[in-house]
Amino acid sequence: MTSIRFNPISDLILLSMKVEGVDKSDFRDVWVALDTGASTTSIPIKTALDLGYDPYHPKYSKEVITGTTVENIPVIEVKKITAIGQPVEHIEVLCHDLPQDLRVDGVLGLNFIFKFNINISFARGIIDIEPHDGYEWITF
Amino acid sequence: MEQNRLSVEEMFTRYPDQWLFIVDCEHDEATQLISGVVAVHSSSRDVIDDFSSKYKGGAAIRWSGKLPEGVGYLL
Repeated sequence: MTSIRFNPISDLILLSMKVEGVDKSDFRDVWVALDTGASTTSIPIKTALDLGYDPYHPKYSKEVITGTTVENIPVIEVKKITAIGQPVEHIEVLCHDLPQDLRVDGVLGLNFIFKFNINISFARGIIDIEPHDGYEWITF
Repeated sequence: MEQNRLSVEEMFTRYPDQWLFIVDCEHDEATQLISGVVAVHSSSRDVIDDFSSKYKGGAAIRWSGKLPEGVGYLL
């Protein structure tokens, strides 16, 4: 299990996210918001380009419903993302630029988070995360 | 280009309210950035992005100031 501290009274839970490039020696560590309301993790278009990916010829484009709009956003598969000490290989990400005034480059969404058991303690300001062995879904 | 390795706290103190392009990064086991070398700093993100597009290797990009205050977020 990995644990990290976060500021429980901040407006966003901010994390480092390392995105590995097409060339394994390249990475960009970008500042992202943990977002359980986002289905898919996102990175800036520029970051994808800098790491050797081609967001202009994506794997596919996905219709994404945001708070205000519906947009078609390119989806690429990156070699590896690591956040909160946990690596996930061959993961799809949206290539999407958040407003620069936000000072945050992307979101860590459910397609990363659902691979782990994650506990967010606002009382302690600590996130605990560990891989799970599989799903124990209950069918009603 | 700055040559000294700095902790994240030192970077943020030395270059307040700027975008930082940090190379030679050291992360802890939780992927949190601990230290690195500030290769470029600027209040303009475009300057950082231009440098990043030419840089091969590992690097971190950070804003050293606070998040905008008095606003809410709906990402």
